[in-house]
Amino acid sequence: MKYTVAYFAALFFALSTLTVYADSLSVAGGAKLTASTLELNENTVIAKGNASLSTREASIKANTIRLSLEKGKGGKLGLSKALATGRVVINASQVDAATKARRTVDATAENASMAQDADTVLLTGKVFVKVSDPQFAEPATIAGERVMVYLKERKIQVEGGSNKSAEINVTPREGE
Amino acid sequence: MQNYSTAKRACRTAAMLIAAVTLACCLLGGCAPKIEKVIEPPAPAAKSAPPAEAPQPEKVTVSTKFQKAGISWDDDKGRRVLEAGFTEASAQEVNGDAQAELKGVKATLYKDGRPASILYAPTVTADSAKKEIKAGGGVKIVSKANNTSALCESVVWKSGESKLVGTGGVKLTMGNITISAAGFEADTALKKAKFSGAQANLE
Repeated sequence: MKYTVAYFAALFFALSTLTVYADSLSVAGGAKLTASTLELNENTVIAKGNASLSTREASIKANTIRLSLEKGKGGKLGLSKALATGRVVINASQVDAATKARRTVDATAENASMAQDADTVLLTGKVFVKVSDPQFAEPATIAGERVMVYLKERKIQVEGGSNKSAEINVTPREGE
Repeated sequence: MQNYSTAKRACRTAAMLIAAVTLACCLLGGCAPKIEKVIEPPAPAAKSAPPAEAPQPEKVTVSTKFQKAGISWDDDKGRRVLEAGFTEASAQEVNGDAQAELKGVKATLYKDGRPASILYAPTVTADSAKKEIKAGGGVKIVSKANNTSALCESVVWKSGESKLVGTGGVKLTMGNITISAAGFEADTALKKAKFSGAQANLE
């Protein structure tokens, strides 16, 4: 395979797009949590059965979603960590304000966790991520056993499993 | 003979009054509230005295009203279970159970002898035998353990199980999270709860 500048540019774009979408999972702008049952246990809210956490630009669905709360600077309880377990499906969509182009990220994994203070999103267990963007000839894909997204650094770390190596596939559009 | 009959009536009236007040106090858990007694005097004697051999039974009505008073319950170990202040109350016996109807209630709910939460409700039925209360008319519960508070239409508190069961328009607020639900079950301190038909909103 011949690696061109366009290829690396597209790869960089795909990964940076993913960090942007991971950032959209933040609940800073408000979020809604639903499930068959909700439980409160001290400072943890547990959503069980068809659990769904929706923000303005993204949603996480899983068998169970746990939200851990901690006191913030103002002494008010706020979200410190979110943990989704079992058949995790993440969908994010964003419209570029300048180009009006719609970009989407769809991901599946066994588990997903977000740490607000660490600004990280970790996907584990048969992770598959698909990034669709008009700049790609076809959606970029990332597969591995462990994908860590560092939101502040705009960095992604993909690890394969013992039987399967990590994969990143990006196909830039002709002429890009 | 007429003097004897009048004295007898007076004694009977006094006995009934004492019995009624005692019953009301017992029903309210042995408290000593400020009591206002309203006693309707016996109907005035007929202009023509009834025949001595067929005396008319006298009509005595006793109502007991409690104003700006409080009740308290303790468990078998002498630990406080409930303290409630109210603006108005009445007491009655239903199917052998003592019940007090309280209005304008602010109650401290205890767990293991320690205050666990404060309950505010327009109306409360307190069953001193079961150590249970049913609050209605829009209830607010504020935890003493954390900053959690809950609003709902009605709540049953079972002190023996330390369980709150709330129904109707439940809204529990904890920091930046508000949980809306059709119903919930929680411990007295609102530390643990289960919700049905619920969704949580994060600010």
